[in-house]
Amino acid sequence: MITAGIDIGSSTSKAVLIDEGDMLSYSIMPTGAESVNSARRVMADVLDKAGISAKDVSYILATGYGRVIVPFANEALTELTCHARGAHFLFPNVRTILDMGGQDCKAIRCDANGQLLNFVMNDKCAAGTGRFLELIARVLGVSLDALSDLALKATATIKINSTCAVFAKSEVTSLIREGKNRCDVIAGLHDAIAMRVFNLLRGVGIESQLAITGGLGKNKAIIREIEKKTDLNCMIAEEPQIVGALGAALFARDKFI
Amino acid sequence: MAESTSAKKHLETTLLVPALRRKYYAESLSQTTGQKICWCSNGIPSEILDAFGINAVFVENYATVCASKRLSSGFCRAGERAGFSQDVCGYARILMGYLLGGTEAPEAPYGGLAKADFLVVNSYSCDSRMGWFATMQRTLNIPLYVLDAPYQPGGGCMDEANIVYTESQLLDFVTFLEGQTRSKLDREKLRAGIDLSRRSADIQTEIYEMRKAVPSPMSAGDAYTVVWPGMYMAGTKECDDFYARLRAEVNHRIVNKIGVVPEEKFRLLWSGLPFWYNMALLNYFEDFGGVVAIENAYFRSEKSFPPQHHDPIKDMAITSTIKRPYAGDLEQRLQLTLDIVKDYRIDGVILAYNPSCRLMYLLQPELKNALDCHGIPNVNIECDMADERTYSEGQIKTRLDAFIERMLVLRK
Amino acid sequence: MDIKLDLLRQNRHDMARLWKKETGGKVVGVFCCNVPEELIYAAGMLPVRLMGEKEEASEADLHFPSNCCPYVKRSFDQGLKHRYDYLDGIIVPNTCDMVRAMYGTWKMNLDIPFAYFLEVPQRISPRGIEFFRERILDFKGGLEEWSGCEITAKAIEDAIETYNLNRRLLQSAGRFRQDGLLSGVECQNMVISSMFMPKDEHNRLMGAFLEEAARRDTPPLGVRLLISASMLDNSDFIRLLEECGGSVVADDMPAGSRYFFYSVNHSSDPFFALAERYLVQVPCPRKMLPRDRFEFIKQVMEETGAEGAVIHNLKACDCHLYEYPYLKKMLQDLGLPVLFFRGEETEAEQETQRDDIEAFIEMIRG
Repeated sequence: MITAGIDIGSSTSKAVLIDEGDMLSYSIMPTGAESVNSARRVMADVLDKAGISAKDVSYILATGYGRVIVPFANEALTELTCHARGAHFLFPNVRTILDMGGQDCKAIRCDANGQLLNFVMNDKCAAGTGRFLELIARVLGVSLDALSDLALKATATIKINSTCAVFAKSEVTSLIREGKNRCDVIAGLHDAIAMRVFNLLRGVGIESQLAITGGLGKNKAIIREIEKKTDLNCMIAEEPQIVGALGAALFARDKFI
Repeated sequence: MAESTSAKKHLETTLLVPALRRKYYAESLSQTTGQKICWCSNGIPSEILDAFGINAVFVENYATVCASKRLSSGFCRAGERAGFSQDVCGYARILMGYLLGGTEAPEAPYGGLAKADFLVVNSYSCDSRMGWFATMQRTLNIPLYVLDAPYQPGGGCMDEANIVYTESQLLDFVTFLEGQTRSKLDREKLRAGIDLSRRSADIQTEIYEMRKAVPSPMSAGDAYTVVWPGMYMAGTKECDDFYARLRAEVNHRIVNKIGVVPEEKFRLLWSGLPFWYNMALLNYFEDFGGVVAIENAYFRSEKSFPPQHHDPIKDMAITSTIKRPYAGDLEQRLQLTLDIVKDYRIDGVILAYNPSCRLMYLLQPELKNALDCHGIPNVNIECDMADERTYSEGQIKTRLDAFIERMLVLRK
Repeated sequence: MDIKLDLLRQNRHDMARLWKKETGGKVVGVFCCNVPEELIYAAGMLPVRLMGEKEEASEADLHFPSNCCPYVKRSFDQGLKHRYDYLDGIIVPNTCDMVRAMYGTWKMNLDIPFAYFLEVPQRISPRGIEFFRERILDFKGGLEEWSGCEITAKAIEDAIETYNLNRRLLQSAGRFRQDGLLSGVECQNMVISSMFMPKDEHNRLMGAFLEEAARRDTPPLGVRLLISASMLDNSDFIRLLEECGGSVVADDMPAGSRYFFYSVNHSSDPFFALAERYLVQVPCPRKMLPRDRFEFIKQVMEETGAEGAVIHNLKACDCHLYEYPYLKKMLQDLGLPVLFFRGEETEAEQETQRDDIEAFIEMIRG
């Protein structure tokens, strides 16, 4: 029995194919201007990777911002429910999940069965999201991946007072202009984001164990700061971006139990 | 005009409100009897204005009318171009856009507002109203009266000095109105108006009480509409009749177990103001068996006080000092919502963060903490109550969908 | 000397703790310009103005939403971070929505033995003064009941005297800044330090400071600026204006002239005199209609010969935001260029402001 989960996020689209409990393939692609096309492309790619055709897939469950516009999906659920499910599948003892995506940051609590218990999302401001780091990376003229490495090279952490995306940008610029060490400034930025995220976690109530999902789960510098603040070891999937799609695929499989 | 997104009304009585509202605006526009027109803020005792035969136009309501007709973007933009910050109350920006927008403002609903002879604002509900009315005074260059009363964070008490001051301000207000209308206050007419408005308020309290029923006979989608006569026609026979009729209909639904949804799966509380440009959001849960059974804005659970004094002004001074609506200590206000959750068998709470309505907005985080503390599921959604440009469909639906998923899981 | 004034603010918590240790007295936190501090002082207590710090309000973020007054939120954040643990009481006047909200939040979340809400009428009228007098008497009663000590008429008279002297000294500082003997930053630091130091001690400090300043050579002034602000509880913004070539010669601010303009009248009824001073003479936009406030600002401008006006409103400060379009127009009609900022009170925003200020000053210089 093959089922698919497809997660159309604001920045990236993800798809996962599973056969019962085994993952067959996954795919990650940027979400284009036309989310419907992104859904088609990422689905075609994941089928291609598994070497199967669309008719072999018994059920497709969509999630993410674009969940309602996936024309070929059988059902839709939000990414909060799906991230809880996916994280629980990977880490059965997980109780708190932090999903750091492109547009939103979410703190999620689940029960022993991976069912969504509670969640808190960031307010409208972009601080603490992937888009915010992208903005800063662009200002500093480095790639998004390099940002984390630079932060880890820091010897000191320069306090950044503003996590408002607009002000932080100018604060970072002026600190660099003042001749402050670039790595130290970037480390400060990661620390500030971690603080915001930590408050989000406090809002939902942190219970061990903690997993981090979403694109920012790949950012080692942020993970390090969050671990410091929460005094917990974060569990991170090999590919944190596909946890929501994986959860969706698992929900799809449930249809046949 | 953009598509309408009004709430689905479940009660027949609710459907009478739009006609009442149109009539209210039409009457103030067409009156030829030389009646004075007063633009006023909510919270002004309209019984006094009625006793003088003054035509009271509550401009906040007009802002919600503009919002519900999907005109808020245009009016807000016009208001902001006139220099008002996006931070200030959405209602005020709409009105300032209406007054100052000129040709840039959209066409005004109902043919616009009747020209005001003077303005009246109360000081005890929020800063925004004070700033807004002072601004309108400068714009229109007509008299402004500020009706003051103690704020009383403790929710009211029998403090003698507070009563004396409140009475002095009401009397001063009467003097102002006597000057404006060149007539004397008819105290008997005022007495009758107060008695009638308390009577309809008490019927409203009864209806709130009845809404504890399962399945819910009337949801917030109806409730935010049916508060209208009580707010803007208080003290009239029409208003009294309206609530008597509503009570009968709600009662009929309870007796016959007619719920808002066929099979009620979860009951919600809406905390804060609704989004007037998208009232359909209040029905959003109904497809999933959810019903917004109650709301904490405008909520009342207590009967009116019996008359405290034969003189109507003194009576008003005493009763409003004992208990001022929407005031109260933070802890009391939190407790009120926690009580509603219990009394109305609420499964979850929608916290509507309306940044430009400070009073409601400032309360929400502590309310969230209190709900979390009591293990009551809640979700927060943020956008302005009137300025539709702040509404983000994707973000809001994701939160609400996830919340519905959570509600359905909890029910299992 | 300036540096020392700056340090005072930084060291205010240590100073208050030391005062408490030495005198065994109570320290009382105060919000806004409507609290007659004289009574607290007369009760042998130390009134201190609650202030924030420019750091992430990480604790207060859990209790207040994101779009609200940064000053009040940051002050509360300091409370939650235990920096105000030495407070025995707080006095919160009926000033604005945010301060009122703060009263409940502070009372509920922080362990403060005495929290008093002072009613302030929102309309200036003879009946309002009378009512405020009643509330001030109630406040006195509240302080007495809490401390168990009577506040004597003599103590009140002395307190008024000491406070009036402080106002006169600050008024002199205001004149010094017009003449260039003091910078805007120095003047602002004096006002701010007055808000948390015992007034007699501050009077001594000011006396010495002004004596020294009077002997200075007057340096050429920069572009003469009037600053109208909703709340600046530090001198950083004024420093920025002066670094960019401006000289702040006049202000319309709660932590500025609203604190020291107008003394308490000598009267056989000191409570009436206090009510009058704190209600009528504080030109706060929450109570005063724009017409009267603008007269006040116009007068200040003419007296100080300001060449430009800078308006700094904290975000979500309704009282000032509504007034702004008209204030701007009034100033422009008088031929005064106006620069407006919506403030968040973070370090970072200063950098975004600098370019605008430099351009504004260059424009005035022509």
